[in-house]
Order: sequence, then structure tokens, then C-alpha cells
Amino acid sequence: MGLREYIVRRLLLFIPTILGVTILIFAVSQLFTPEQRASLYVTSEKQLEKIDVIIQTYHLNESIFIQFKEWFWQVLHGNLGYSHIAKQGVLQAMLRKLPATVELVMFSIPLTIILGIYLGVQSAVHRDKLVDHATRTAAIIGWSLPSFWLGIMLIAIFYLALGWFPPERIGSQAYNYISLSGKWRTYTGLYTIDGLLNGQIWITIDALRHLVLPTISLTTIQIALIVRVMRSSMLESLSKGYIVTARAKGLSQAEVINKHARRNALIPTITVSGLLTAGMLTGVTITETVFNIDGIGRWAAWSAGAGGSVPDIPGVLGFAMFAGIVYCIANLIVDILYAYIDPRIRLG
Amino acid sequence: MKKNSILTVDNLKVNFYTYEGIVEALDGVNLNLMPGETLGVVGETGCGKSVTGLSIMKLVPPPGRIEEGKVIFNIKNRTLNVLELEERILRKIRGRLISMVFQDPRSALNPVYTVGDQIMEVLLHHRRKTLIKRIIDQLDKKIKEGKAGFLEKFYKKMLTIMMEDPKSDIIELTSKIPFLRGYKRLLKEEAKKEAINMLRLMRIPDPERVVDMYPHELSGGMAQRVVIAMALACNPEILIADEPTTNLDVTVQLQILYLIKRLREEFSSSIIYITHDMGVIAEMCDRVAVMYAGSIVELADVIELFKNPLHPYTRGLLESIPRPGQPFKSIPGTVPSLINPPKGCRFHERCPYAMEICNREKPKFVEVKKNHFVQCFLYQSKSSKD
Amino acid sequence: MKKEEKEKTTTGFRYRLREFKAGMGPAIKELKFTLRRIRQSPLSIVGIIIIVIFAGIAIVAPIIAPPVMRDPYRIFRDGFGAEPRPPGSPVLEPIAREKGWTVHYFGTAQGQYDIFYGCIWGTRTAFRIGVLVVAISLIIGILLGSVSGYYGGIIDEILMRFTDIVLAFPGLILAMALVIALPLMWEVDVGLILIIAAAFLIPVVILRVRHMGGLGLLIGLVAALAITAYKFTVGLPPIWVWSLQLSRLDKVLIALALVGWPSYTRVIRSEVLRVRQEDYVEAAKAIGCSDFRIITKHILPNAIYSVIIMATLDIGAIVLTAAALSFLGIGAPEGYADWGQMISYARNWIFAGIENPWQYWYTFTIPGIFIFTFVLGWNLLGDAFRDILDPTLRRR
Repeated sequence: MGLREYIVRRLLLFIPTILGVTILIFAVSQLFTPEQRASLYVTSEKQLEKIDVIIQTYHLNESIFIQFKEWFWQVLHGNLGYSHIAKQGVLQAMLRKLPATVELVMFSIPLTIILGIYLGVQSAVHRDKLVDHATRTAAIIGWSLPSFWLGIMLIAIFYLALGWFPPERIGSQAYNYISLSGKWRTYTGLYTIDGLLNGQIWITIDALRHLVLPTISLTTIQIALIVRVMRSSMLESLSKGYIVTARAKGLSQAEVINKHARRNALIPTITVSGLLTAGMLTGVTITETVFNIDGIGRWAAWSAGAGGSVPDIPGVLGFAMFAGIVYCIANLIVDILYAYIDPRIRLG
Repeated sequence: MKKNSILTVDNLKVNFYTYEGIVEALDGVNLNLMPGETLGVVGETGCGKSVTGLSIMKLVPPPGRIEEGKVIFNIKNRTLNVLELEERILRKIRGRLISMVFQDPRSALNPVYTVGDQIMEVLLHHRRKTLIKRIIDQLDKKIKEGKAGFLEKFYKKMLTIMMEDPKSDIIELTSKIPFLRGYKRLLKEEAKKEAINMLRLMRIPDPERVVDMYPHELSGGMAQRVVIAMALACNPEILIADEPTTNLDVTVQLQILYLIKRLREEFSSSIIYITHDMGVIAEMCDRVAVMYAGSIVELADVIELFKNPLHPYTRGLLESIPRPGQPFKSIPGTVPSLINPPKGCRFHERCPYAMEICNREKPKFVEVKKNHFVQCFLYQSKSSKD
Repeated sequence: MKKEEKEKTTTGFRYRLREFKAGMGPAIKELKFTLRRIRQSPLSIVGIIIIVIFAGIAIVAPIIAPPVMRDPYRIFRDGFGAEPRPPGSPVLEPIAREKGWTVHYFGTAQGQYDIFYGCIWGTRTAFRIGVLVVAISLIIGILLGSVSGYYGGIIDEILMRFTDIVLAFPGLILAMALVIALPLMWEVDVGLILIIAAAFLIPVVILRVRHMGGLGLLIGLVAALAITAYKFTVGLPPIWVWSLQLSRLDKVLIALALVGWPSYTRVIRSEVLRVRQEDYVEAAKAIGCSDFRIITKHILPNAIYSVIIMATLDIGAIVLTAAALSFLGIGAPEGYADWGQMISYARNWIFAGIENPWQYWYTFTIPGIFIFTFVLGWNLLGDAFRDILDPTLRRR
């Protein structure tokens, strides 16, 4: 079939999947009363005062099919409702908070994956020796830590006591420059990148300083996932026949591991890495709360009622849609990478 | 043993340390291989044939361990004990001087690399200098004809350096720069040409297409040809074939056997052919070693063995070959467990000629007639007690 | 009878006993091998020790931390002051003193809740949440997963789509939403009982009487749906109404179970699919075993390894999630003996901009250590199990 055809086929499958997610969200929204659903159709607080008008206009009391048509039309126009937590439209809120979440995870994800792969390989190759036990123990310890506890401890040690790495996204000096000086252009919303693009390297460095603790927190906890899968698939790969063949060809131990065993072992790791990425983008709620970062996760938690706030239904639904799309994209990329590495998938 | 043999295995003992106990897999194996001959090693499943093959290349996997013995390799007037060599030198020998063909071609090939890549791997590993020389000669020709540009002259310079010292700094540097690293591409192309050539020699049709295919796209027979191609790519002195046709269809088996026969002439390797099929032995081998429960019990020319089997096990084997019109004859009993093997001769519990001494001591591997060795008390005086 | 004659009997009790012992031989050998591997693995031993210690604490909780309030899960308060007091402070409240409390071993948290009491009784809470949620998820997962994997076809499709749907929602957020959405009272009436009966009894009856397992399930499903529809539209007479009061912690339990079961279903289903193709299943069918027997006796014992590992690891994960929920304010109610609950108090006292942030370290460090160690024990055990129980990796 070839790689290209496979990619095309997979992309075609992507669209109905997204559609499915949308229908799903709609089905869940039907669990709520029309009054509660009214806020899905408006974009400002003022409009909520006339709930009856809204119910009339959007046929919220009528059959499912009419409702779906109305709602879907709204969604296509970018109206996902009004979030009273964010005091703005759901879509606008998400777009505004997305860069914070992305910046939070954009260093953790590659670090976790690359370091996890390396440690997993070492663990498998030196099975049951000190390296293996130490790596697995460290990974398990990381996985066992409550994320909020680790975050608080890191802040207490490295910021309150030592003053090295602060929480939040940037310091007040940088913040003032960005919002008040008028010389700042927002390109991506990511302070690290925008700092470079604006020629203000100090802002980039400041943002990086603020990212150290959350990155350590996320990586420590999540690395166990990658180490675990890499180790077990390496062990399986090393027991296969082609390893003996490679040795019989005279290849050194390093070549056997890196060229032959590892490539096969990466296959299941790709799936896990994809889920890890999607999971991090949608699951950094606690970290955002502890480090006081205005990202999607924290907003979603408040929408769901964390800390005693009134539940924000469009918020929860909007986040669910975001999560669904993120997982669909992650699955798409994983499938394509799979086909790239394992020829049996694309040709079978 | 013989002075002009190319390989001699002397009293090889291998144990496997498992949860259930110590498996004494090889209990003093003795063999020799003459240059240019095909030596068959025949025995039933579990007698240790594969372990012997792996031991010759010092590839026994844990929990196995080579306890005792020597594997003497006679090459270019030098005598080496493979088991005592350091890993660095062993890696030069494996794939280059001694190669192995495995039983299951599907699992022997790595599914994520093309067939061509895997053959090229062994070529680039061992025959780099030959390939580089070839390219340099081609480039030289072009330079002489005046058709060479700056790039080609540069490549020639790089390749000359690479031939002497593949790890030099200049090579490391230029291999990272897009235009300048073209010489590596030349090397790969030359290797690929050689790989296609090997495939053609294996009588694989349309080798230019096959070289880019993946192992799972090939039939069993084709895959086995690829494995043989990998093994012969560097023209080894010794080829160890570990049941290469067992997992294939009978018709394909025949094709592979014919192929090996023809390749014998083209490549002049000495072959150790491991199998459990007496028919294949009769067809392929010059001499035969019969193996039972961890040691060689008889070793002779193939015709001599079939005409005059001396060891009771060999006799039992030959008699058990089914003949039309005659009732089945089999050897009573089963192979003993190798975890607590019987003392003395390991065959004595099933042997119709067993004597009292067979229970107590193990017979030595002795030349009873010219070029005919047996390990049995029927043919030697009782040992030291006399 | 003489001994040789006894050994040669081919009938009766003696014979059956002998056969049973012979049949169990390989299984016992495997068990011994597993135990030996466990003993050899230091990580799993540490894990077991940790869990045993926590179990011990949970059991002797009433002795080492005598309850003061009527509900033992309510942490007693020594006054109502806001500022936490350090470990070693004396207990002032007279009722508590009566019960034997003299000093706050771990100090008090905001609102003067005794940290020692909270941590000790919190152990019971942790076990309760972890084990119950995992047990429920496991049962649902085994039921749905084995049915889905064994029968395939439409049932599999429907169940899998449904599972995927629940899986697609981000777990923590879904749990939060459920905790809020679930009502505080739950009415169990005759309609609900009929639904459950239809969904379960009909297929089981059909399974045992005939080989129409798949069809039986479909009938049961349809019957359950029909009754559900009838109940919500026309309504059934409210005889036999129980009202269940759900505390907030119960809601957390139910929410976590509802979020957790899909993963188990998927894993069991894929294992069942794998085992279903093995030759011994074909052989069992050929000799006429009923579906029920095949599933319970042949398929499940081979499919269950991955899930055991998953369940062990999940107990830790559930406790962590419950703690996170409490930390966010949606978990256990205030004053309840729950580790996450206690850490949520501590937040203000770390970040209040004080000169010495470590002044109130005991408010969050100690409960945190409890959570961490508890989860660590289960994770060590689960990880060791993974290495030991995996049939392909066992003997290397």
C-alpha cells in the first residue's frame, strides 16, 4: 500500500471520528434541562437574562433532531456557548488559555519520552542488575507521588526556601512589559517563543525559569509510563530470533541493541507516547492549580465545580470536545508513526 | 585429531542453569571438519545439535554456559581457540569467517528492515574496504577520462581516508554536511549492488525488486534464500546450517537443498549441516556425525556409515526409516532427561547390547576403523580397570 | 485392604483424591515457582511489607486512635482556632481527654483537626476507596469484557462503542462532573430490580440451558432496555422503595468506579480475544462444554493475569485521584478522615507569604507521606507482579 496511501486513508477516517465526538457531546448535553442548556447558545452574560427568548429561538424544547441541527450550526460558527467562569465565550476562553497549557507541557513531553526510552533500554539490557532496579524503583516512586503534593513540595523547597525557580508563568517585571509597554506583539501566546520573536531574550529566560518546577513535577510522575513499556517491549524484542542473527553477523552489542532490538521495541512505545501526550494536554489540571497557571485544565476544573464554584456546563462540554479532538489527533499521529516504523502495518 | 582439519571441536561441555535444575546439554562433543567438505550432524530433537552450532560461534545464550572444551579454528596457518578469543576478535570472525543459517527464516530476519538492508548490513560491516576500493577504482577511471568534477575528487579523498580510519574526525565532520556526505551514499549504493548480486546468486527472480521488500512479504523459501545470502555474503570459510529446511514445505526443501549444493561449488565453503533427516544426510554430506543426548556417538564417511553402522543408536536410526511393505521398527524407550542424566553411556537404557560397564562409565570417542569413530564399549576394551 | 491393593483402586473416594492431587500437581508447582520469584524480588517484598503495615494500621485504628465523635470517620477538633499547632501540642478539649488523648502526635491542621487521627483513620478510608472502586470496576470489566470478547458480533460492537465513549472523556473532569451531578438520594424500586434481573438472569438461564449464549444476552439486553423505557415513560407502581443516602464520599466512590470500568473491559476483552483462539478452547468446545464453563474454566484463568496487575496498580491510582479530588474540594466532606482532605487545608499555610514556609510543614508533609507510601506499596507490588506473572517473561 505504501506509506502515502495509508496516510490518506487514515486522514479520511479522521473526519467521521471528529463528527462522532461532536454527536457524543451533544448527547451528553441532552441530560440537562433546557434552562441549563441555554448558555450553550449565547456569547455574553447579558444575553442570558432572556432565557425564554433563547429557548424559543433555538427550539430547546423540541425534538432532538431539530436541536442537533441548531446546535451543530452554532458549533460550526464557532459558538460553543458562554462560560461564566471565564466571563467570555467558551471557544474564546479555550483559545486564550490554550497557550499556557501548551507551554506547560511542551518541554515535559519530549523530556519524558526521550529520557524514558533511554532508561527503559538500559533497564532491559541490564536486567535484574543495579541499573534495572534503580531505574524501576525511581520510576515507581515518581508514579506514586501525588501530583499536588510534589508540586507544593517543589515550590516550598526551590522557591520559598531557595528562591531559584518561581511558580506561575512569568515574573511581574516581564508581565508588566508584556501587558503595559505596548512594544509586545503576541505571535504564539507562548512566552518562551514570543520572547525570542520579540527580541526580548530576558523574557524567554524568565519564562523558562518559571517552567523548571512544573516540568520536573510532570516528568517525574509520568516517566514511569514510558520506562515501563519500553522495558517490557525491549525484553521481548531481545528474545527474538533476529537478535541471534545479528550477533551471528558479528555486530557489536551496542549495534544489536540500538539498530535491531530498539526499533522493534519502539512500536508499542509509540502508542503509549501518544496517549501520554494527549493525557498531558488534557490532564494538567492539578499542576495548573498548584502553580497558578491560567490554562485550560484549571478552567475545566472550575467549570466542573472545583473549589465550590457553580458548575459551568458549556465549559465542561467545551473541554470535553477539546479533549476528544486532542485524542483523535493523537491517535492519528500515532497510527501514522506506527505505519512508518512497522512495515507490516502499512502493507498488511 | 586430524592435522589439516579446518575446525576441530574437542570435548565441548555446555550446561544450562534453569529453575528445574542444571541441564547438561553437551557432554563432551568431539568433531572435526575438513576444508571443502560437508559434515552432517544428525540426531533427534533435543540432542544438542543446535547448541553445538551456536557454541562453535560462542553464541550460546544465557542461562547456558560453556563449561569446558576447545573449538579450534585453523585459518591461514593460524590456530585459534574460538572459546578463548576476546569479543572484539570474535566479532570479526562471526559473519565473515564463520556464518550461520538458522532454522526459521521468518524469525531470523528483522521485520522492520528490508531484506536488502539486512544483507547490506553484513557487507558494510565486514567488507567495507573491498567495497570502498571498488568505488575508488570507478572514480579513478572517471578522473582519468576527465569526466570527474570537484565533488567526485572530494569523494575519492574522503573514501581513501575512510578506508584507513573510518572513525577519523574528518569523516565524522563531513558525514554531517548534506552535500559533502555523498560519498556515504556511494558506499551504500555499492553495497546494495552487491546485495542484489547475492540475491541473484541465490536464484531469486527479479532481485532488484526483492531487495527492497520486507521479510513478511516473502514466502518461506524466499526468506530462507535471503538468510543464506546473508550468511554467504562475505564468503566465509565455514557455514553452519542449522536445519535450514525443516520449517519449509517439502517441495521448497528440495529447491533449497539443490541451491546449497550448487553454492558449495561457487563458494567453496566447508559446511556443517545440522538436521534430523537421514535422507538429507545421504543427499548432501561427505561425512556424518551422529549425535545422541549431548555427545557424538559415531562419526564416519557417509557411505561407510550407511553400509556399516557401528553404534547401536545409529543402527536403530537406520532401521527405523520406514520402508514400504515392512512393519515399523522403532527404538524402544525415550531420550533421557538431561537434568539428571544417567551415569555412564546415555544410551544404555535403550540399548539392546548394553553391558554392565555401560551403566558405570562413559565410553571414549575412539577411531575404530580408518576414519570411523565410535563412542561405545562394544568396540573398545574396558577402560582403566584392566 | 493391603497397601498395594489400596493404591490400585479405581473407584471411590481414595481414587478421586489421588486424581485431584495429580491434577493439581503442575498448578502447585507453578504456584511455588511464583512464590519463589516473589521472594527473590526485593521490590515486591518491600511492597508487600508496606501494604501489610498499612493494613495493620487500619485494623488497629480504633485502638491507637480512639474515636471521639460519634462517627469515627470524623476527625475530632480541639477548639476552633485557625492556626495549626505543631506536633507535641497538648490536647485541651475535655471530651477528647476523656477518651485518652493527651497530646497531638502529629500536630493539628487548620481548624484544629488532629492530624494523627486523620492519618490513621484515613488509612481505612484509603483502603475502602481503593479496594471498593477497583473491585467494582473489575467485576464490571470482567463481565462486559469476557462477554464482548467471547461472543463478538453486534454485542461486541455495541459494548465497545459504549466503552470508547466513556474512555474518551478526560477522567478527572468526568469524575468531578459526576460527583456534582449524582443525587444525594437514590431510590431503588421495583423497576430497577426488574431491569437488573432482566439484564442478568435471562442470559444466564439461557446460557445454561442451551448453547445460545449470544442470543440470550441480546434478549436480556433488549428486555432491560424495554423495562427502562417503560419505567421512565409510563412509570411503574412504587412498591418496595428503598432510599439510599449517599454521602459525598460514596458519590466519589461511585464516580470513580463509573470512570474506571472501561479500561478493565478493554483489557479483558483483548485478552479474551487472544485466548479464545488457542487450541484448548477449540478442544473444549469440541467435547461439548457449555459457554459458561469455557469462559470460567478455560478462558478467564488465562486472561486474568494482565488484569490482576492492572488492578493492583489501579488501587494506588484511585487513591491518588481521590486525594486530588479532595484537594480540589470535591472529594470527602470537611472534617472527614481522608488524606487528601487534610492536605487541602494545608495549602493556605504554605503560600501565605510567611517568612518560614516550613513552619507548618506537618500539615501537608505528614499526610502526603501517608499517601505516597500507601500508593508506593501497591505500585511496587503491581510492578513486581507484572514481571512475575507474565507467562512469556517468566522463565528467563
